[in-house]
Amino acid sequence: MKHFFFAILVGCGVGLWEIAVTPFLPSVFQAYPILPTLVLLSLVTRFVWVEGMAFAAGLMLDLFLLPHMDVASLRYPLVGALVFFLVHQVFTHRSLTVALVTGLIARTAERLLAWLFGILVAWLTGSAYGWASQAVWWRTYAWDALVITLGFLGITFFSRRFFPSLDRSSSASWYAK
Amino acid sequence: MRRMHIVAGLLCAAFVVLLLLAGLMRSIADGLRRVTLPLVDGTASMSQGAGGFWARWTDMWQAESKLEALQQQYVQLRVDETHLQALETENRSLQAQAHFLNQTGYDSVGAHVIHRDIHQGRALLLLDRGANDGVEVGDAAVTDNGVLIGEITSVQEQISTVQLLTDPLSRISAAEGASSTLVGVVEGQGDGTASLDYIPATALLVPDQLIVSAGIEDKIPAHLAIGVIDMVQGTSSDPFLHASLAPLVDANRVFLVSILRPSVLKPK
Repeated sequence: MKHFFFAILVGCGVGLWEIAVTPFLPSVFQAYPILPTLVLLSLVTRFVWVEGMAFAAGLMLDLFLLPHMDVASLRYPLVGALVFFLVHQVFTHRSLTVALVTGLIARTAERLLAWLFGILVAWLTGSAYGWASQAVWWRTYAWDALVITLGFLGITFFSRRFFPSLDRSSSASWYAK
Repeated sequence: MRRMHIVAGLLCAAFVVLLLLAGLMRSIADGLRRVTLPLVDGTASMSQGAGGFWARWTDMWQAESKLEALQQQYVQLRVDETHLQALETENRSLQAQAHFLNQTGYDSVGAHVIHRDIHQGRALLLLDRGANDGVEVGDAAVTDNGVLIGEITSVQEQISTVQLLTDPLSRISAAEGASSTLVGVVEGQGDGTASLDYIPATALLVPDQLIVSAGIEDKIPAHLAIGVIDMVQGTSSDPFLHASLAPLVDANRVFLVSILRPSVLKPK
């Protein structure tokens, strides 16, 4: 339970960052940390904690980003479920490459869901405007990659749970056995 | 059993979101917002400080080239009589704006910008003042020197949203600064700029001419500076002309905003 509340706290923290810090930084430093955190948490924790973090972060966004119609508190848990599924059911190991690929897929899915929810909610509420594409989308992907890389290396350094890349040098001899 | 927990959790989350969408949890959302607003407000203030420090640092870095450009601009202004006239007009209008609060019966409430969304097609600011402070939809938002930057489009108890003039959904009637003649509608372009449309072909607009609010909207007073004409497009045979506007303020550097309320709405 303690870890679950910690995950909620992390979610609130990264949500707060996206609301109150990111918009005031120079455009080149505008990173959106919710998704990279989601990917990193998926690598090291349980599904419920990932979902708790995603919901808390999405709720923070929904509370303060009034004109947005992309329902972040539903969108991020859905992306979290996808990320967890990818990490635990599709990919065979947990390396930096896997984390980066997962982050790339997660950001694309998140943007697609935002577009979908934006259209849906705008249609349901009769609004004229639902969603707008990001002007410099590639910068978001670049920041995702950087944050995931730093986070992954940090986790590797402090916990010694993973290796930055999968060592395949001995795999041939292993399979040959 | 574990899967049941997961499904139950997801169902609970979806149920909460549906209630939020239906507006049934508005009071809960207001409560949560009331608790977290000081944290968001404080964090936004600190971020603005850091962002301002970066802006000053980059300004210093580019000071030399800026100085050279400003000197060229100054020389051009000295020799261009129309520019001088435009500046005189602007000066008169700004002087008028300095006193408009007393003259027009409008009261103002100051607000901090706690979030901005001006890089994703929209141009919106989130303010830390809301219905509790007498803010209403349609109120005008101006900078500390009286330049109109947008209007309030949504209000909650503690917070409100400003739709900037550069937002693609923004439409504000505009007048020519010196004569206060209605000249068209300012429309946001969504890329940080605005344009002046539906200009009658008979209107005589020239670059650097000041454009102000026309005061046709219910809660937006007239004579608030909006921007200066950058370029006029169209010929005299066209029914309407089109002009691009250069803003007087950089929305990225707006941290404090005054919301204008008609005095009769002032909370007691």
